[in-house]
Amino acid sequence: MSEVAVIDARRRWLALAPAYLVIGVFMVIPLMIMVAISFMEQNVYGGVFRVFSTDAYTQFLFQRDFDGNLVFNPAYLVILGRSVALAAAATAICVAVGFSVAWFIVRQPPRRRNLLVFLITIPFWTNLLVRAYAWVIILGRGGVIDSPFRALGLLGPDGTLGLLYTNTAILIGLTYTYLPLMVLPIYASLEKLDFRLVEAASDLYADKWWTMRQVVLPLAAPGVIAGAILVFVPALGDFISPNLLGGAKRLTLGSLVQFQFATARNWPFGAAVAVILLVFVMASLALYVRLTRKAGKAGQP
Amino acid sequence: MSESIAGTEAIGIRNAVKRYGDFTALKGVTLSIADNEFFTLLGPSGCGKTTLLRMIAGFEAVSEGEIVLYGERIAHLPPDKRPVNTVFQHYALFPHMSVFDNVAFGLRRLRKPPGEVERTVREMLALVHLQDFADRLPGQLSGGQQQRVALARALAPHPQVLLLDEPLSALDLKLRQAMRGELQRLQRDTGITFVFVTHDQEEALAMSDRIAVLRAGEVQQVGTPEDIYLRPENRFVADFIGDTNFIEARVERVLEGAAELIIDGGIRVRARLSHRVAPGEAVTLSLRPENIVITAPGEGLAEARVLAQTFLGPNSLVTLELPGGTRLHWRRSNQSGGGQGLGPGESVGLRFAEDAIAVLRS
Repeated sequence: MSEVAVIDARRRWLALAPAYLVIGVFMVIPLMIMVAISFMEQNVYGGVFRVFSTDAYTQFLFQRDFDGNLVFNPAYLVILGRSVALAAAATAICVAVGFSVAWFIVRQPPRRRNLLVFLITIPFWTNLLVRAYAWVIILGRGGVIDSPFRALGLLGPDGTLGLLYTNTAILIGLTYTYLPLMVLPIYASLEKLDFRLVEAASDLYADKWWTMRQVVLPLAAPGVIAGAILVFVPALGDFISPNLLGGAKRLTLGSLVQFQFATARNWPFGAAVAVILLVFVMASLALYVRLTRKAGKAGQP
Repeated sequence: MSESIAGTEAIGIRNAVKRYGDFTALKGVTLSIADNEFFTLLGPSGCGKTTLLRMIAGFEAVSEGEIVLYGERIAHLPPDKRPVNTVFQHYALFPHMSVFDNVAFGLRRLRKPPGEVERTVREMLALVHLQDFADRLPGQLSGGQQQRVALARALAPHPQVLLLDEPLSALDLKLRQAMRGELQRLQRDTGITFVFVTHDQEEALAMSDRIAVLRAGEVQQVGTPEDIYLRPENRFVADFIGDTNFIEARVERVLEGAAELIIDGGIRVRARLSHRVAPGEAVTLSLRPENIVITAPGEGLAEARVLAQTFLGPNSLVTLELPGGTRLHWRRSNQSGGGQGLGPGESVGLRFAEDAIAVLRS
């Protein structure tokens, strides 16, 4: 290697150092701490004993019966299943609603488009907790949704539709929270779409639905996939919507982790659940990479 | 005579008007395009030619008037219900589909059986010499190849009429010239009526059976390329197509289909008439530069003085001045052995080729 090349390589390292530093300090090290804690023993007064143990992972699948034998316990798998199902459902609803919204915005004249995109981001200006509480009031007993039914005398003796503290309420919360993250990437890909292609499709006898399926959706796929990841990943780990709208009875992985650290003081188990969550997220990202590669091969020039 | 149509009418445009707010893009256009015709809409940008084409395709609604396709009124139909296909200016190929799937798009929508789709697509690709490119994506093709895919895609469903929106404008000159012959061949081979939009008069003259010249949303003249070039009816058509000399004249005598006129310095000329004029009327004449014949001094109709000469390759444009001050451009061939050049100040005689002068409508 020539001297210049050595200096060049050194320079490159130097230039990239801040990035490595940030990734190391804020991502790699915390993750390693988390993984490490998940393999330690619980200290019931908070914190951990630095002893290697796989108890936390065992606890996820098994519990000890009175004789001290390990018995399979599906309770946490149910929570995992519920979390994945809720996140997937929220993602699906966000795709459907987000695509429609993005399509509507793209079809507006340019000046109105910018205004509408700006309006989409407005919810981010308010604290998420406040917005989640707003949904408690909307969905709760005597809330905005209940009252017209009550006025018409359609409610039973308990005086509520019973929307709050259900999976539906969690789903509404998740969809509401993450919808903007779906709209923006889809909008970005639709905005690049050449609308002459839509004309070309209709010229070749395609009706609106066929054009949508054969031309618009395939070309907007990168945006839809990006949006799906942006919604699915945080929805899977979310604990605010489950805690506030699902009540204490409906745990999800996110609320489980929060509960272990904040209330139950079982750090290793909380960390283990977080690692499991992480594995799920990684798996979905791997799927994303495969999907986009396929889309890339079908490729836009 | 230019309005007469041989055979059945493919497209009838009846008093079509298009308004965008206060702006009127088409001011009552009436045209009749014959079956199996290569018909060109020619005009400068903003003349409404593309709007008219898009109205036939169904992308633009008519504000007033009617469009008739082989006897059927179609102005109210959406584009996907009209048996016409378009070759777009920038091709608009589906970037995520192979060449094969692009060409098959319309056929599949018409629910042709897979065997027929396969056969027709192969046939169309062969027609445009792209047999070996079926599996490529549009992004992997050159501009000229994409152009031919667009043609194959639009021809595959065998539309009643093919609409072409400046399809050659994005190609370089050589390719453009080659594609002219190709398009004519395709039109003859398929027997489909072509409606071609262009601002390039040379393209229009080279390919069309008939041409409609448009300006500011109005039809100026409809006719064969010869009609349009040799017998322009008004100043715009004469000026837009080719080069011409405009000569102010006064009508001396009206004859059968012609008139005798006096131009500059009492020179008496004969010109064709396509409309009525009265003796004594002041009119404008059009004379193409190639229709001036130079003679030895004193032997022609008039004397002229050479002012300047511009070399243009195959020919030169010579500026002549008549005794009364009228300036004329003369296109002089630079064929080998065509004699020596003319120097400024030299005197020549000139006359005009038979039937070469047209009286323009004011």
